[in-house]
Amino acid sequence: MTQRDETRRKEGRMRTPIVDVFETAEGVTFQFELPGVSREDIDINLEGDSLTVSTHAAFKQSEHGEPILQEFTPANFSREFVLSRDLDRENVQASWHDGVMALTVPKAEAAKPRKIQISAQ
Amino acid sequence: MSLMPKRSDKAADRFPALTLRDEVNRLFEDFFSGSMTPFAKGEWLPSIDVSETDSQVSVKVEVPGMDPKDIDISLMGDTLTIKGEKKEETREKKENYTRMECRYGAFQRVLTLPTPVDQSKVNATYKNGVLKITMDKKEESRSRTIQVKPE
Repeated sequence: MTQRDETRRKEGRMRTPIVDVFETAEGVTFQFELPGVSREDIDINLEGDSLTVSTHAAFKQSEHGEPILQEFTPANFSREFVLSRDLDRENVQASWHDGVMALTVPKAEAAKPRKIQISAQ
Repeated sequence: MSLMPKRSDKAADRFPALTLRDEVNRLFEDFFSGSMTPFAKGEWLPSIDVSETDSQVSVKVEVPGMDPKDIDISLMGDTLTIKGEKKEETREKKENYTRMECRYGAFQRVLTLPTPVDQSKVNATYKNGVLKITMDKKEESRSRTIQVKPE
């Protein structure tokens, strides 16, 4: 965990986003739900085997007045995944719409299933 | 070449503790978020925040990845009902999923607002996956400072 994550955990102000992960022959896609965060406030960090998605939105508590019911913490998100070796980290693609971000990591060429022909003797 | 089964190369299998922490966090957040209110119905419950200023009541609902057309908001007296359906068509075939946390389907939440609001002054926006409904309080329920005149 990074230093910043440690601080935020201690202050109790970090949320874990919901993620769907699915896999095809082409690669792995992670779908993160990051409601309330603009796309420019999302950080995607790839370090070695680890993929970390976190946000750095500024929360202005005062603009909405006194909270009466608060079910979601006004806090930034962070979640880390470990990528398996057969994924090509250099070509990650990201797209975002309406608070949902999809990250696709393609499988490295060598890892894709390949048919092997038996040559006739 | 030996015929022993290849050891799993997925990092998540070699270091299960890393994802365990995230899983436990998710469990706690799910437990404490919005699923305990009695006035709710549906396959899942989006989290909501309600706050008020002197002149407005503001309700925020976390519903990322939705089409605003699929959200239905209605106000009757001081009861606000928010319902909708998060469609699942964009999901790929289920057998490809290694993790399925996103919630889909119908939801409904009914709230009793803390003060009466003016029905004609309701505004709803959908941005970054959050539905925000702001309502002006009725004139008589706005807080007003009252001067104390010296005798």
